[in-house]
Amino acid sequence: MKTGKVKNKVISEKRIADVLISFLRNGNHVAREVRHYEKSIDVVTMVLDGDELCTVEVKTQNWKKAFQQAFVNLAVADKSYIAMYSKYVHRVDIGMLKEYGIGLYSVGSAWGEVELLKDADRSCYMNKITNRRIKEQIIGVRK
Amino acid sequence: MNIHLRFGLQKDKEIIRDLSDKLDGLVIPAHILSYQSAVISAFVSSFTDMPFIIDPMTYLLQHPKVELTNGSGDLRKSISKMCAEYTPDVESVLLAHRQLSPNNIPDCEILCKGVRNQQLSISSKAATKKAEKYLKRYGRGDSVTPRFIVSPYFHFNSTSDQWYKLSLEMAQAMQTICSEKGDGIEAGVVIFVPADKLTDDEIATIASDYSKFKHIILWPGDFDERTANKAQIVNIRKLVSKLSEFAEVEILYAGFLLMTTAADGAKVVSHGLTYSQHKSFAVTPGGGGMPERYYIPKFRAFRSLSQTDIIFHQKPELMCDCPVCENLLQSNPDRIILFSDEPEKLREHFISVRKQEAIEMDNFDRSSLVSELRDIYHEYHSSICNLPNPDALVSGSNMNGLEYLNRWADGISEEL
Repeated sequence: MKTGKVKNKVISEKRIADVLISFLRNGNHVAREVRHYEKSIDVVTMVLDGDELCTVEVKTQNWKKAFQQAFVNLAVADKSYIAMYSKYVHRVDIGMLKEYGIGLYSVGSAWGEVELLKDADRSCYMNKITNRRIKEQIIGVRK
Repeated sequence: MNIHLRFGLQKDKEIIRDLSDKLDGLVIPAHILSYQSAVISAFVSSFTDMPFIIDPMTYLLQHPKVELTNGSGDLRKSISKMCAEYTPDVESVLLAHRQLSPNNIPDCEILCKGVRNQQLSISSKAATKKAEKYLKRYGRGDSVTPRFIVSPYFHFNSTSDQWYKLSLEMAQAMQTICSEKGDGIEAGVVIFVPADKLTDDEIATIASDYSKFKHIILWPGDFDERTANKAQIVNIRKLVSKLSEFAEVEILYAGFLLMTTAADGAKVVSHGLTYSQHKSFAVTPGGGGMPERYYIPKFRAFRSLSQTDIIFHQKPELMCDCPVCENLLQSNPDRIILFSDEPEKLREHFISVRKQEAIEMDNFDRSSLVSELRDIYHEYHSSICNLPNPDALVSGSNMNGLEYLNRWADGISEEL
């Protein structure tokens, strides 16, 4: 009975982000809600002792919105991803993600339920100045 | 075509001063003048040879009370001060009704006299002790008398609407008052026209009703250039063309599309500094500022800085070559981020480009502009149509790409 109730509960975007972040913390600097011009990027990661900056836009259901934000993030990230609630990840148009080189995570409601379904390509549109500024920011946050 | 800047934010005063050689005039909203009379009067009168008008903002009286009051039920200060300058009882009338009907509006003559006095008050307001300190900072110029007096006006849905009739009565009353005063300052009108409801008959009625006025300002209400369709564009062009047979026509809250009505007879457009390219009746003054935006000249539109960043990295040829951008971008799209460090440069860039566009309008070539708009659509639409809608916050529309350029081309190419 208890399990059934949990399954029917609406999963919040915050919960999905929490599960994802806890997974990504393993081996990465991770920052949340990082300011980029007029918007905030949901999750930004940088490999510990590495130089690759990745961004993730998290959504429970609306993958198109996540995609649009991830598209904009190509201007700052080395790699740009979207993360979707596993229950709705089948809705994502993988072909479109491939076309733009955007990666995809499937995230469940339980800790550790994270799967990388598609790796992102290296962004061709990355702005070196903003990329460096955000790297400095997240390493600073970590310190 | 002349560019008149609509004053909106106090922080823009310095930049307006710096850009004044690119501006042909100013539009000052009455509620701002009432609320900050010393600083605004000093600011306006500090210019030399800078024509201006005061927008009486009387359409605000049509808004529901709840939109004009603060949490404690009092009128917002700027509106309260403006009302007090117009007539002593308009504030109590506003507070006594949930929303005013035309019958609640004060007597035409009394309101017109109040509005006229307010618009002629720059000189006396700039002579106060409080204004003196601002004049010391800005310097003293000679801009104290408006180009013409703008009569009270209201939003209407059709020419049979009581608000239309009241606006016309106000305009006629103001014209009589101005000619009786005999000081050479004429009356002008704002026609707050519903762009989506115009018909040939309505256009003919408006033109006939306002045929005695030499200064007509059109405010195409609910006309968002990014979503306007061909019929709306053609109807606005027809109205401009008809009115300009007897009057000098100006457009309030204009973007590039409305600038092209220069070919139909419009002489002036006004807008804010990177904002107010479009405004509908439903919008009341106040609220938060707009996010910083960059005007992409080839798109004839603004995009957020985050979008501009990716657009320039995709298509570096879209980088602007105005002096501001040449200096800041130095042909390197990575440097777009520097605009967020110096947002005033975004405004300098916009006005610099807008001035060029105004010059283009003076040498308007319909067929080459139409081809240019269609070419830009074909070249760039597919690469940016998946970016978030840059104006969703303002318009709520689903438009993302450059579809509007095709609609503009359709509307502009139509023979009237």
